[in-house]
Amino acid sequence: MVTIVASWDAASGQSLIHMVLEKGVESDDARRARARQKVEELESQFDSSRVEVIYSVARSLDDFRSTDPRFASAPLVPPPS
Amino acid sequence: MSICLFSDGSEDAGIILGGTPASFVSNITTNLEPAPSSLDKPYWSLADQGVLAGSGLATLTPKYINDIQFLNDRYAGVTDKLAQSETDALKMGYDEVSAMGLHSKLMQNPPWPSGSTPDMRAKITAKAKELAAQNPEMSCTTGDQYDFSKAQAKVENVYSDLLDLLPKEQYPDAKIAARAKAPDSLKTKVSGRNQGDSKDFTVGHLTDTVGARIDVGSLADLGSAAKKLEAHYGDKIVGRLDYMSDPGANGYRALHYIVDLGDRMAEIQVSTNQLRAADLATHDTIYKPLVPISNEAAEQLRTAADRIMFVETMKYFGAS
Repeated sequence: MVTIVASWDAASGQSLIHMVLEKGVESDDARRARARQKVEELESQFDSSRVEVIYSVARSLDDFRSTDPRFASAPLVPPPS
Repeated sequence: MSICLFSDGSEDAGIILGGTPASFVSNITTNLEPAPSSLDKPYWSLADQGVLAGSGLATLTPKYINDIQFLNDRYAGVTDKLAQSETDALKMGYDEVSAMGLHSKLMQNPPWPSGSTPDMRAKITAKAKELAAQNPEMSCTTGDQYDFSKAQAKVENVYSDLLDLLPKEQYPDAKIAARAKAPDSLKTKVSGRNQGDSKDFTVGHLTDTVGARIDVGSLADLGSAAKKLEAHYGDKIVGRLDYMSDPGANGYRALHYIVDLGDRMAEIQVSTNQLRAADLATHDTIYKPLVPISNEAAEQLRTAADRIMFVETMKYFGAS
């Protein structure tokens, strides 16, 4: 299972994948906390009336993309260095 | 990217003109009369395969062409899938009459549990009141008390249950994803519903603080998955919306289940991979007011979604 944080800008049609965390790499609590922090960070940056931040779990990033074709070719935002 | 046009299959099956010169395509798209088409339901598809031409070309307005180009740019992957479905349909020797006959047969005896729950809105309201009485988070009308971390844990439980219900061995093409609503998204939705004098919409009313999408590989799998969901959730199902038997606007087809998870309601959507692709091509262009689309393009997308349903129907009956 992967945990995904993504965003969709309804006005521009831009979709981005901001985070993909694999279950088992760290504790479930730590994984959820990191994802939650990313959601909060993105929501503080974006206008929620225009940009939707999405939190999802799926078998893989491919499964997530398939169930929401808005993200079919969404680029993965590299983590900050 | 060429624009492919073909009439509904009752005309003729269409001719693939491979290697069509770009100038011919350009002539079609730029030298068209604005008059409405004399054909029944002009039908379009986008592909890199040249031009499919029926007994006559649909007449298109320049605005319609611009809409198609816009959709093409935005949904290149989706329109390719639509084009492939239509190409498959032609290769199967599909014709309007046989597809309509099969479709009627499917609707008379669908493999999925059919019919929507009557008075679903009343049931959701009643459940929302029950949830609000039990839990301050659910009684909140602003979303300020929404506990996102609880939603995160809940969504993983739902996801895990769905994986157990629909194992890969039995549903090899199934794609499953579950979501928890992000805090600002929830606040926007709740506050939007509580505009003006009405302030009685609570977090408990929301059916998608946790949600899931299941897209399977075929209509048969959709039916099987839906029956398993109904057996699993049983009397926890607050409502069912059957958009398979009664498609939504623009041809949307899926089954939606609102289920009671104990501390909230959740929405589980079940569809097929192909139908999902068709839906998302329309959803954000038609229903998001920030991205308008012309009525002609909207009509053609609905038709394409219906066409995918026909192709799925033929596959279900083994007509391939």
